[in-house]
Order: sequence, then C-alpha cells, then structure tokens
Amino acid sequence: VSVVVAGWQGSGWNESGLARTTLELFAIAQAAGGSITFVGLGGGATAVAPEAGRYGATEALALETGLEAGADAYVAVLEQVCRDRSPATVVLPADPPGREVAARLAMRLGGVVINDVTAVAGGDPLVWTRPVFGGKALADVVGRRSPVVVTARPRAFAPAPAAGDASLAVAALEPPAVAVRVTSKQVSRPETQGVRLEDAKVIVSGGRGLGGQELFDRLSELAGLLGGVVGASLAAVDEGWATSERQVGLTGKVVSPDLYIAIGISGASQHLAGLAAVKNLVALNSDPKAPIFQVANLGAVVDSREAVPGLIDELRRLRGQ
Amino acid sequence: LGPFERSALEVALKLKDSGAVGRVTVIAVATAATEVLRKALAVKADDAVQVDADLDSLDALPTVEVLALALEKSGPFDLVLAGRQAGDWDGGQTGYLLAERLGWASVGLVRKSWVDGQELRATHDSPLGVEEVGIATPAVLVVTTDDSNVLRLARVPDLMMAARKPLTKLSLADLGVGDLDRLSGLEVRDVRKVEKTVQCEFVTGETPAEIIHSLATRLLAMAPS
Repeated sequence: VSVVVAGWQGSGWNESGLARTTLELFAIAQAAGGSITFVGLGGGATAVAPEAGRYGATEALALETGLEAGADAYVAVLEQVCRDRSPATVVLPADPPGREVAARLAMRLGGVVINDVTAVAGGDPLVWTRPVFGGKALADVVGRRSPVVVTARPRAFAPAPAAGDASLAVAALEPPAVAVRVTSKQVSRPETQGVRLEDAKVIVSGGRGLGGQELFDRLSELAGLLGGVVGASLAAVDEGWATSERQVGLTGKVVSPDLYIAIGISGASQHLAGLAAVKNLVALNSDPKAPIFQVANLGAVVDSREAVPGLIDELRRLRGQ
Repeated sequence: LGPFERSALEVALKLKDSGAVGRVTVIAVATAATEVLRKALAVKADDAVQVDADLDSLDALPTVEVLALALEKSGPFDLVLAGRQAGDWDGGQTGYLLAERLGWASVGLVRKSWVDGQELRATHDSPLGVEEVGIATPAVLVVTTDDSNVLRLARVPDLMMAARKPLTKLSLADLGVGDLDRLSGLEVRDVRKVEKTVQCEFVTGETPAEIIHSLATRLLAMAPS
C-alpha cells in the first residue's frame, strides 16, 4: 500500500521549511498507512523536499518549473506519479488549487474525491470523516474506488511529529507536456492589512448588532490591540459596512484562528460554517438567547455601543498605551 | 437556487448582457427543480432543462455523469458556470469533476468573468491573491459569491412570462443512464449531528464597566503574544 502527499508553492512551504499544513497532511498519510511519497511542485520544492523524510516519507519528488499550465500541470504531474505507484490514498491541501486538483486527479485516475476531511479511522477500508450541512453534522464516508483523493481541512489534524531523517534524496520530475489553457494575466493582493483572514491567529468580527458603520470601523482598533484582523458577518457585508473580502461564513472565508471574537453576531448557521477550528470563541451580544452563545466558550451580554469603545480603552490601559 | 448557483447565474447573465455569449441555459438535476428553474427564466435565462432525478448525496460522481450527458444532449455549449459547493453536503467538487469528465479547462473560485477581444477572462481566488486569467474555451468556471455577482431581481412581467415558458424535461432513461449504483464512488456510512461540547462561561459584573474590565483581561490572556 502506498500514499502520495503533495504540496505546492504558495501554501506547502515557507522560508523555514515545510508548512504546518503540509505536516498535517503527513499525519493523515501516517494514519492511512503504507509507504509515503512526497511530491513538491513549484519554486523551492527541491530545497524542502528532503525534510519529508522526517515525517515518514520514503520517497521525495520535486518539480520546480514547467508548471505554467497551473492546475492542469499539477494534475498531469500527479497523474504520472500515481500511475507509476498506484497509491490507495492521495492527500492534498484544501486550499484553492487543492480542491480543483483533487477532483480532476480523482476523475482522471478513476478514483474518488473526498474534500475537507477532519478525521480518518485506520483499517480496510479507511473511514473518512468530514463536516456536512454547514458544519452542523459529520459524515463518515468510504471510497468505493481507488485511489481515494482527500483534501484536508487546515488545523483539523495535529502536525506529524518529526521522527525520521531529513536527508531524503530528492528525485527531479519531468515537466508535464500539457497545453496552457488558463493563462495568468495579473495578480492583485486583496485589500487586507497584511494578514489574510484564513491565516489570522486573532479575528475580531462584527455583525448587524453593531448598528452602523461608525462602530464597525472601530473594530480595527480593537483588533490591532489584540494583534488581530477584522472579519464580518454576511449581515454586516449586506449593510455595506465591510467588503465581502472580510466575510466569514458559508459564502465567505473559512477561518481557524486561536481567538475569534464575535461582536453583535447572532450566530446563524451560515456564519458558523465559516468557523472551522477556532480554539477560543468569545461572543458579545445584547441578546442572552443569541445562538452564538451555544458555541462560544466565553460570552458577555453587553451592548456593543458600550462594549467596543470600552474594550478599546481598557485594553489600551492594560497594555500601558 | 443556492447562494453559489445564484452567483453563477449572475456571472452568466452578465456575459450575455455584454454580448459575449448568445444563450444562457440553466440545467438542474432534481425532481423538485421546476420552481427554481422558473426563477432562473424570470431573470432572463433563455432555456431551462430539468433532469427528473434525485441524486442528492455527498457522492458527486452520479450527478456529474448525468450532467455531462444532459449537456451533450442539450448543447453544444462553450462554457459551464457551476456554484462552488452545494448548500447541503458542501461537497465542493462537482464543477471540477465535470470539467475533467468533459475534458475541458476549469477555473476555481471565480468572482467575475468577461470577454476581452476574443478571449474569455475571469478573476478568481488563487493562493497568491486575486488573479486575472485568460481562458481557452470550452471551460467550466466554478463560481464563488462576490459583491459583483449578486443575482439581479426579476421584474414582475418577466416573472409572469417565465411561468409560461416551456421547460425541457429529461429522464435518466432519456440520457441512457441505467445503473446509478455503477456510477457511485462513495458510500456514506453515518451522518450524525455535531454534539455541543463547549459550555459558555459568561463574564459577569455589577456594572458594565466591571464586565468590560474582566473581558479585556481575559481577551489579553487568550490572544497569542
């Protein structure tokens, strides 16, 4: 039995080596069982690939260039790797290219795709768990075809512990012979002040309960004092207080911060679907019956018109500013 | 219509408004799709096709095969716009699987699409930011919601007209689909409600100022330094 784990430039690694999300993929591969092949795609892959040995990989493959065809190229490279090795499982990140690559690869290999997995139970067959119905339920599913290509929800798995040797030999892959069907013209960074919502450790999110643009705008001061960024509910976006770039929820961003502070957000399931793996959820709401308190671990029944300026002043004082 | 399908339809209608595409056809696979398709016709989709079958499940492969056959029967088409994920099972794979089944290009998480000269363009979410791409058709665009693709409202006369427009109905037999089980790729073993595991601790105090003081202290302790 073998498992293929893939990562790519942009999310798979950073200056300090393989990214946490990639280590989470190795944890899944170890649970799935079998010999692990790591595939790194894009600039920097050759330098980080030997590190895969520390997380259980016995083979490391890399391709740095010749990937202009984007997802088509990723799929073609992974198709060849899989045809040569017939893995039972392929583990990919659940980032934007991940879902596209996973589905196309599964279809091309006659396999099946399972997105956003949050747990796996070993055995034959492997049983995969994933959230459904906007996170209100969990489904256990089994692939009826091979390979099973899974994408993993970030932070649902603990990163694989470093155990083996970080000096795995890296074999270079051949660039795929595919036509470029989707051409990049330009990339613009979204308006975020530095940190993306998806990567933020602290998020201060506001909803309709804030009552107006003026109070919503003060959330950035509050977020700044806690080292975080501002998020918004769909209602706040509908009111025009924030752009949809800021929206957390089923139709917005799925986030997994250490600290999420929901202010004036009732906690509709549409919003909760955007909270994937929040360590601490703090809710401030004037309505003690707001559903957000059902999922929060710390709450306060307060009027946001008092609470937002009050917290800003108090945090400034406590931080000696 | 689900939220992402609404956005996909708006992207299609904007392409039609600009003269870039000639006809917009809406295809739904569901026995209860009539009303949804009428709503699409009311915002000026040109044709509506209903595949009279319920394939609602986490397993997208049967739906993809049925959609591919329905496209072949109703087309030819140059472009398919699909929603990012269904509102229930959240599978998030149908558009990409369909592209692969048809051998077409795909672009994920599309916000806007237009035609520049002869080339189809789109902006979409990539790991590097919002990327503008040129696309060789035929292609499947998987659409996500954005301020720019909020579905327009139907006008009253169009609603009345849509009620009289014909719908094309196709059965699985019309498409030559026999054994659905043969198409299946997944077995769902269990679906269970997520049990509430956290108990909310309420910060209390004699005055609002006291509550705010305690809260601020707790928040500072929780925020990673």
